[in-house]
Amino acid sequence: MGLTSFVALPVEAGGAIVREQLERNDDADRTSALMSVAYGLSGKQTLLFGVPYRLSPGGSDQLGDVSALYRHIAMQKDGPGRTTRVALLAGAIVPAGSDRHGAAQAGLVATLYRERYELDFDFLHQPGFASRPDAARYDVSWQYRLTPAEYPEWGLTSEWDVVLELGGRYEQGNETIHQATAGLQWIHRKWVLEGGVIRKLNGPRDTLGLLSLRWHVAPNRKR
Amino acid sequence: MKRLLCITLLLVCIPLATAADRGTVLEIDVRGMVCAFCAEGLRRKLGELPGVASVEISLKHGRARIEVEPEHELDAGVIRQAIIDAGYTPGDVRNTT
Repeated sequence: MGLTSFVALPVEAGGAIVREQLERNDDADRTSALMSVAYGLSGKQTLLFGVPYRLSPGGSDQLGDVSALYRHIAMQKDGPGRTTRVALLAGAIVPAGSDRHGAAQAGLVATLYRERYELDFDFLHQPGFASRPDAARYDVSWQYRLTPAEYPEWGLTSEWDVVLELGGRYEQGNETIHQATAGLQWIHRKWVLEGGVIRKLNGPRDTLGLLSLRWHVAPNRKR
Repeated sequence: MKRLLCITLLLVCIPLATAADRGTVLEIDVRGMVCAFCAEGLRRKLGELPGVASVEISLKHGRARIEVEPEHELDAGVIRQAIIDAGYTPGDVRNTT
């Protein structure tokens, strides 16, 4: 799983993963939060919701537009300790205020995992309704497990991954802003704590800091 | 002589009773598991099945080990479906009791 990219790995049916993400842009003096929820409908179908929230130290806080996506794993090729998956994404952006317009969303995400590394690729097109400009994004994410070099015979131990990413964000009328991300992930069986630095490669060359925590949520239906 | 016979019987019966209390242990190959956080979803899914006492995952071997409570039976088809529902590909089920 990448820091800024989507992933085509599953969420178990009836289970959910919550992610709380903080992004700090010192250059623009802006802090924003993003709360995401991934809910597993089945082994191949997942609902993804994202609610951004801008925490402006100098001004008023602002709720961003809600992203709702349906992810369907269309191709899945599994092996021992390896997987290749391609998933389709479709959904909408629901405006948080009556003065804003929504957008449709469609794209795809692919994940390839082999032994100690993972590669994710995503592309999402967001055609805007009414006066909302069209937008699009892409991400390429590479992750490598630093430790452990080899998993234990039995049991799920914590691990450290390094993450390197290249992404782009486009909005109609503006040039595509490309960005590079470097970070670390501390992966535990119940949660993932991750942090990184995002550097804009063109346009306003801002540098952002990212801190995120994700965890499993699942009702215990047995007892 | 009687005492010796009783002690021998006890020594034979106690381990048998302990083995029976442990219940069945099944192992199943799971393909596509790639990290501890992802595999936790499968561990939870298998743990929800009725009669499952404990679940262990091996990412190294791509395998799940399920201990079934003594008074329960667990169908291989149910285990396979739980693995599919968790997003992975099930393989062979083996009884390792």
